[in-house]
Parts: sequence; C-alpha cells; structure tokens
Amino acid sequence: MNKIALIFKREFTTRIRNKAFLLMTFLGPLLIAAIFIVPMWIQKMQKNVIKHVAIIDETHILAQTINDYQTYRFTNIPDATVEGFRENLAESGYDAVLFIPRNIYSSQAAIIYSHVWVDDALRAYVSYVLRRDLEYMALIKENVDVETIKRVSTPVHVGVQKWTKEGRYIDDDDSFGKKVGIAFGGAFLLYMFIFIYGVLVLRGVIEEKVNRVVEIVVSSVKPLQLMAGKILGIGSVGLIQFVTWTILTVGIVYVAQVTIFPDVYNPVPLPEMGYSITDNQLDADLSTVQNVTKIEYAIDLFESLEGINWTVMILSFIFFFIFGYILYASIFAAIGAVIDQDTETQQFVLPVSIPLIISIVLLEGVIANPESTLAFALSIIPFTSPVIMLARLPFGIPYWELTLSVVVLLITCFVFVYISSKMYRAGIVHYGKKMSFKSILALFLPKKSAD
Amino acid sequence: MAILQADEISKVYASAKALDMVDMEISEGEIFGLLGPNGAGKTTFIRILNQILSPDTGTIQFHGRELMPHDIYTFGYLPEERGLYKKMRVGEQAVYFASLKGMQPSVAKKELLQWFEKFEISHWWNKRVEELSKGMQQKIQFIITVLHKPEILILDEPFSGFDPINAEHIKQEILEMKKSGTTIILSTHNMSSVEELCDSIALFNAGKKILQGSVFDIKQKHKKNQYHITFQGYFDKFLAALSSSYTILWHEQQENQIDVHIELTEEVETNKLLTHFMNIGTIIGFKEILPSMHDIFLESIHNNSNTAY
Repeated sequence: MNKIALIFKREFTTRIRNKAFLLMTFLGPLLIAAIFIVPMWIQKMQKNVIKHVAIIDETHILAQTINDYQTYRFTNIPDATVEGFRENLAESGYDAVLFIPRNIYSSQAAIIYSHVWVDDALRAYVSYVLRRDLEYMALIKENVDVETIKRVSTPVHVGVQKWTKEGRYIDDDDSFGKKVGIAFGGAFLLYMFIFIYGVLVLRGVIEEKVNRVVEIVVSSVKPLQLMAGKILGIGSVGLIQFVTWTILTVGIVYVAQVTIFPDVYNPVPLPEMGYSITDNQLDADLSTVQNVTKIEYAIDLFESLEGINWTVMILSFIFFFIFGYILYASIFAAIGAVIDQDTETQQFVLPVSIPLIISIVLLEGVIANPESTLAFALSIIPFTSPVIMLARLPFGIPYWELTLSVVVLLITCFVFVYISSKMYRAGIVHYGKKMSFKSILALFLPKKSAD
Repeated sequence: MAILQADEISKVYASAKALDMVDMEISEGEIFGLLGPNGAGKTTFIRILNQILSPDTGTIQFHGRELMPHDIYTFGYLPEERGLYKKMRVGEQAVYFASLKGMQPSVAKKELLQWFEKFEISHWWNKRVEELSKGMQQKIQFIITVLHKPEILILDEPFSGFDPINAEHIKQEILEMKKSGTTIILSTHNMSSVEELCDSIALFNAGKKILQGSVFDIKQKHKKNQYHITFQGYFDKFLAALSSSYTILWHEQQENQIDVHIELTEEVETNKLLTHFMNIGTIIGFKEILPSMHDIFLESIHNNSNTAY
C-alpha cells in the first residue's frame, strides 16, 4: 500500500504544481463563466439602446393602449402611411413601424416593418396588448359586463404531481425541473471527467514508456501498484480541478449577475390591464382554495424528500462517479501500455469511448422516461451505467435495481482492473514493438508446457 | 557460496522461446558477466531476477531460499533502456526512486548529496532532467541505482552512452562496490570491460546458456597451446630447428629481433621448449597466448549455432 501512496504522491504533486495545470485550473472558470456572462452582457447592451417605433393605426383606437415597454418607445403618427416610411425609414428617426390595419378584427393581423430583424420581445408585447384589447372590445360589443370580463380572465397554471403507489405526492413540476438539471449536470460532469482524466492516464502511461523510465519503476513496484497509484493520483487531481472549476465558475457568474447585470434575469413583466381583481370576492375564495392545496402539498413534499434517502442518493452518486472513472481509466492505462506511440492513441480511444458517447446521446431519452426498459438496460450494462445512473438517480431508483447496477459495475471493475494490469504488466516493458493481438491474447491463455 | 541460483528457468513469449531451461549460479561478491548476442535472452533473464517478469518454469534461489517480492529492496537495477521523468527536478526525482526502494526520504537526500558531491554535480540538484545531457542523465541513473546499497547490483550495458572518461569513472565505482561486498551482474557487449572486470561469465545464445565459469577457467579451457616468443638471432636457424610438433602462426622481424607465434601440436613442457630454443639465439620474451573473451565469444556462438542446425 505504501508503494501505491508513493506513486500517488508523485502523480499528484507533479501535476498539481505544473504551471499549465494551475493556469487551466484558474483560467478554466473564467472561460466557462464567459459562456454565461457574454450573453448577459449582450442583453444588457441591447437593453440600453432605446428603440423608437412609429405606429400607423388605421383603427384610431388600438394605438392608445400601446405604452412604452422596456427599451421601446412608441409614437402614434396619425396621418402616416406605410408607403411613406418604406422609402425613408432610415432617415425618419424610427427603428420600426407598427402597422395596424383597419380590418384587424377580421384579418387578425398587424405587421411590424423594419430594416433589421425584429426583436421577439417587441413582437410578443405588441401581440399581447392587441390581442387583449381586441378580445376586450369584442366582449363589450357582445354586451358582456366589464366586471364579468375582469373576473373570467383568470390565468391558470397547470401543475404536475407524481404519486407513489400508496398515493403520496412525491414530485411536482418545479422540483422535476431541478431534477432534470441535476441529472444532466451529473451525467455530463462524469462524461467530461472520464474524457479529460482518463486520457491523462493514457498519456501518463505512454510518457513513461517513451521516456524509458518505466523499467526502473517496475523494478521497484508491482505494475498493478503503479497503475493503481497513477489512476488514483490523476483522479484526485481531476476531482480537485473539477471542484475548483465548479465553485469558481458559479462564484464568478453569481458575482457578475449580482453586481454588473442585476436586471438581466429579472425581465419586466408584461403590463397589467390597469385594473386589479384583488378585492373581488370570488377571487378571494379561489385563493383560499389554492392555499389549502399548497399547504397540504408542502407537507407531502417534505415527507417525500425524507422518503428519498438522501444518504443513499449521495453515496450512489459518489460511487458511480468514482467507479465509472476507475473502469475507464484502467482500460485507458492498458491501452497506453500496449501501444507504443502517442500518435496511435486516437484510434484506440474512440472504440473505448463509444459506450460513453452512446450514454450521452441517449441521455435525453433516459431523463424523459427514467423507468423505461432502455433506461433500465443502460443502467445495468457497466460501460454505460455510471453516466446513465447519475442521470437517473435524482428521479429515484428501486433499491434492487440500484444494487444490481452497483454489483455489476463492481465486478466489471475488478475484472477489468485485473485484465488491464496483466496487459499493463506485459506491455510496459515491450519497447519498440507493438504488442500483437496474439501476444495480448496469450496473456490470458494457459501456458503451453515448455517442451 | 551461491548468493543467487537459477534452476531450469524457461520463459516463452507468444511467438518465441526467450529462455530455455537456464541454470545459473552466481557467487557472493563477484562480478558476473552475462554475455551473448542481441536477443539471446539476457534481458529477459535480468527482468526475471528483478521480478519484473515471472518465469514460466523454474525457480530462483536467493541466499538459499526462494526469491521473495520484498527482496527487490536489496536489488539495484540499471536497465539498458533507461530514462527519467523529464519534467521532474533531479534531486526530487532521485529521492522518489530511492523511496520506491524503501529508503527514508531524509536519509536518501543526505546520501544523495554526498554522491552528488563526489561526482561534482551538486549544482544539478534543482535542475529539470530535460536540461541535462544524456551523459549527465546516465550519471544520475547510476547514482539512483546504487544509492540504497543493494546486495545485488544488476547493470545492463552500463557503459553505453558514457564518454571514455566517465566510463572509467563508472568502472572505478563498480570495482569499489565490489570491494564493499556487492555482488554485481553485468550484461554487456563490451568484451574489454568483461576482461577487466568480470570474475565469472555466462554466455547465452538463442535462449540457452552455452557456457559458464570463471574467466580464468574458461580461458584455460579455450587456450590452444600458443606461445609468443621474442628472441635475437636468425629466423632461418629458428625454422631449421623446428620439429614437427610446432606450427608457426605468425612472425615479424625488426633488425635482428624476431617475434614469433607458435602453436604446439603435441603436449610439450614449456621448459623443454625453452631449452630447445636457447640454442638458436637469445630469448628476450616468452609468453603463453590466452584467447581473448572476444574470440571465445565468437567461437562459442559459432560452434553452438552450427550444432543447433
């Protein structure tokens, strides 16, 4: 064990002190954070640009309720025509022209003209206001009383809840969204982790072969110890780098959001109609009803969170993450031992990565339907189970399935670490010649008796 | 007494037999030469001694008992294909390898500093290995190999890559280690170093050991009753005096001094020979010609290959 610790220490310290590694550890979060911050920044830039929209209202009524919204400033120009703007919109000082035709009741269409692509927010706002007012006017025309109109315009939110077989609530759509996030996040993290650090293991093995340092090392330690120390050392470096990346990225994005872009993710709500229904008797009754279900639901959610054993979930997450990495890293180590040059790496990495790529391709399907046969099969097959199980864990998995998957992965891990260590042992002292398939196979066949 | 004894060691790779029933005895405190052409099985044998490979059949005895995994702490191995981690610093790397051989890092550091001083390379301590020349790296590797004071020191082509000055330096170190009681196994193609250093040798060919013994015995066994005579006189007289039991192999005359190589075709006492020649001229020198290891090597491999086919 002491030997593994020594190898571990060397792999760990030499990598963690490496300048390129340090640079990437601290530069990485900036790059990842940029993915989030740049769109925010662009949005902020856009928000500060005031856009003027001219309204040509042939109905002479509807334009009155279109008020300034966000960065849009609306001006009603009573006698203008579309033709008039068409020739000289650029010089007119307006960015767009909203044309409300006289026959909007029957055609149900208005048009925004512009030289540039029209922002969706503008379109959504105008359609909302026009539609609301047209409906309103149509109802008044039908002699519906204004109070009634106000009362019936009740927005409805359709929620989703999941029951257990015993009839308890275990899920609502809000927590479902969070679970989807955790599922995708966990699966992608492991996928990235295996690709970055598994390949680092492969390169480390090849480097030792190319440097011819490996023979000195294996005259002091067993190849299995060397492999174990290397895989664990690089894995730990990877964990530290990943955790640093996650914390720094979240930190940077959060700080940026709070300080520089406080308003970007708080979009201005669409304007109210100018009246309120808070003092309406019926509305009060409705809200009482809603509150009752909400309270009942809250208790049940709390119970169900206790029901999903968090310890099991977190432990499973750690287990699949670590053993998924170990399985692939040991295969990569064996590949590194039997090939002779860095240039050959790619053609061997691809076939090994195919199960991982399949997992990622099928991930969406698995998350959409975590209890399907496909999801079950993929979470038992050990080459796909780590990524797939990380994606399924947040949705709850029957214990027998979880146990089966863990056992299969553990057994496969042991088998592959054993096979890999044999290949590693035989491969690392073969310099200058590639190991043939025959000679690799010969490692696992009983020896012919020496004649 | 044999410190290392190999019995019936065989090793088969997928396509070839690398070692075929090899027996070997290496005595404590000697310098033992492993000779043989490329691919004869020397490196495989060395790797088995170092427990990098395990033999398919046969056993290795160390101090009269079976070789155990922890024995690697008492072995030092300088492989033929050798290298260091290029990005690591020299001192740190040397301490690392020493701790893999079971040394305490603090002890290793202290002793390394002494070695570095002895080799006048103390200023390399904090350099990266990639900044050093190949010869410099070889020195570091040699120090790493011997630092933990191994009982058995296995050197595979230790002189390759060294210039003559440093090769001599290393040779002196090897002799020093021998003096302090280390058993040294030396694999080399450099026959002159075998002559100078080795007490015993084993010769490999195509996975088989074809010759083993002390350098003295082997030379005696392979000698052909050849003598070098230097005398002053006349070559004609010398020729006339020759009986049928001698053959002239070579001669050279400078002024009236003549050098001759003769081979005796039958057993004759050397004293008798000398008396015979004393009548012809003044004998200045007389010496038995022993075969060089180089000749024995070529001859044995040649004979072995002929019998094999």
